[in-house]
Amino acid sequence: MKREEDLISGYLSKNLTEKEVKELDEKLNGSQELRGQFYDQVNVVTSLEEEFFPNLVDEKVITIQPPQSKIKLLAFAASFFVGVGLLIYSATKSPRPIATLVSNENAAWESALPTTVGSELHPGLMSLKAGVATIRFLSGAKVTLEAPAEIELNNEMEGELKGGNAIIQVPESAQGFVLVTPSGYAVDHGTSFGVSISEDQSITDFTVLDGEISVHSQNGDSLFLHENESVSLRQTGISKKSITEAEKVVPQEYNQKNIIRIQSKGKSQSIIRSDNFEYLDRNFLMVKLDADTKAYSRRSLFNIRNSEINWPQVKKVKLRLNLVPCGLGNRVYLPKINNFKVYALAGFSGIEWQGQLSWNSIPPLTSFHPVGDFKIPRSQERGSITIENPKLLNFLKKNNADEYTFLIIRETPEDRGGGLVHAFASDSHPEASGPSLELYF
Amino acid sequence: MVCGELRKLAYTLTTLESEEEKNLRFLSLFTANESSIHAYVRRLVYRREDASDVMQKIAIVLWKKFDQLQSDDDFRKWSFGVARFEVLAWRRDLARERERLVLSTETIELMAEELDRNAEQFDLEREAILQHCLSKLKKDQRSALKEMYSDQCDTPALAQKFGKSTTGFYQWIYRIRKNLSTCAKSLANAM
Repeated sequence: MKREEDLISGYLSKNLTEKEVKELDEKLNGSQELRGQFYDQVNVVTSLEEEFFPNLVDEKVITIQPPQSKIKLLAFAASFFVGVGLLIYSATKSPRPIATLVSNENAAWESALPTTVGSELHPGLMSLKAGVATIRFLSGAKVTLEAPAEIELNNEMEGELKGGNAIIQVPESAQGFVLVTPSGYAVDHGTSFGVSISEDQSITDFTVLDGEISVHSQNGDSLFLHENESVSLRQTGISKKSITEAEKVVPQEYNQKNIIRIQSKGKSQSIIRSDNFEYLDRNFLMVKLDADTKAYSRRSLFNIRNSEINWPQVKKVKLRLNLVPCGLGNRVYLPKINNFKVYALAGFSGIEWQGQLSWNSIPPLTSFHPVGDFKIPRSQERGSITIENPKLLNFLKKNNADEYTFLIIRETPEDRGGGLVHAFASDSHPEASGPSLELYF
Repeated sequence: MVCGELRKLAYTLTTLESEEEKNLRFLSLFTANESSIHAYVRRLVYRREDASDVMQKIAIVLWKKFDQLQSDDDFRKWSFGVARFEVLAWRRDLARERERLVLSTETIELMAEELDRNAEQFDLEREAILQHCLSKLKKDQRSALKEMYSDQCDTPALAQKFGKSTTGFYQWIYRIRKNLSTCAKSLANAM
């Protein structure tokens, strides 16, 4: 162990002599790297105390009481401030904020969480008694509530609407945002949608205002919804709202002739770092970042080819992947939210798609360009992932190539070995369709 | 005359009400940021007892000057500024015999400047430690840390219990903390 580490360790356990404190002080003053180590150690110590030290709460300055005694506390706090002496504070353990209250329009709240505009919100229940209010989750998802409504903030990618009406707007950064309701849940794929829960909480209506969502009932049914489509969700399942299948209007977007969809036509595969191919399955495009040896890390590749497309004329492009369960690994060993990155390579890649690809047979990551990212909560099993952004569009237009090769990796490592292997349907998947590019002219 | 009294009463009632709203707003903002401010102070002051004293002073100053805060959005930045000032005041006023056992004013100033820029990253890391990294510890590592950071800790006895010399025990704990920090950094960067 280096002398510097001994000094830091001694300082933290209050065991240094005056001379040693002076030595540590000089070393800290002279080295940014050592200061970094010192901050890290103190940061860990404060976390450990928060976890293990039983009397930490007593040392806080202000105590938040249950709501009924709030006024009393305030009177006390005020008296303290005028000079009686101060022992205000001992707060509840506060985890990292996950959302911000961005607006109150004649709103009246009932909540243990702060309810002034601009407040940072921690996980908890908020009840809107009157007016309209908007909460923005840290992920970027925005929920506008209409009173009376009640929402539980779970984490930056999940909220639980327990009653009332709400509109949810989800930017690209928060694709995969989950809204739980009493009769099931919806996963947002970059869109805005409206939710309305009936008074007895037995029926939840979803209407897509823009983009796409998937709706999942408690019995396992799920349905994909596009713009202007509505469904009712009951505990027993999902039903299209008021219109029958036969009467359903084909969404305008799909009715138009100016869309081309290109699929990967057999050129889609997973690779595994150890090249133990028995851990792969041709039906799935598997993706994993292994915590331990990295031997089981997997990445997926697919190729899109169409020599008749004039790329500079493309106005909009969507890359679609279908998330499917492949049955490998445990969800609980992953962090709650997992980040993925999509890379692309223009033109001939030299990859031999016929046989099984080995890890080193594909071009290095540095020869690919990053074209997008997306998040998947560990709880999500299925759903359509859509990547639509200027980076992807510009890359395709600029290169104007006959073919493009895409690579998907997971950036979020698992917490411990044996974590879930994420999988997307390959061309040969028996149910879901493989990766595709949708081009709009 | 009666009218005048009524007006006075109405005025008092209005002021009382707005005072209460102000209290609530302060409490909301302070509690939401308190653990961040506390962690910031600890990195500069380290000893828990000293940090508690400084925190009380910070709370008083924040409350007294709360009217000067332009926007609630600036609370965090503003409170860090106050915290920095109060830490330096604490350091300046230390009695001579205590002074020799803490870092110099110069070093604390240098660190405060550096920490202002990285406070959010450290908050993320602390969150990662509590939410993920602690669960990855081996059983003996966890139980050693638990005893070390619980109320009364007799380190030499603890070292003996884990079959180590006191120095060896400190080194072991240092390495565990280092591993926790590495774990926190990799998760925080992925967040």
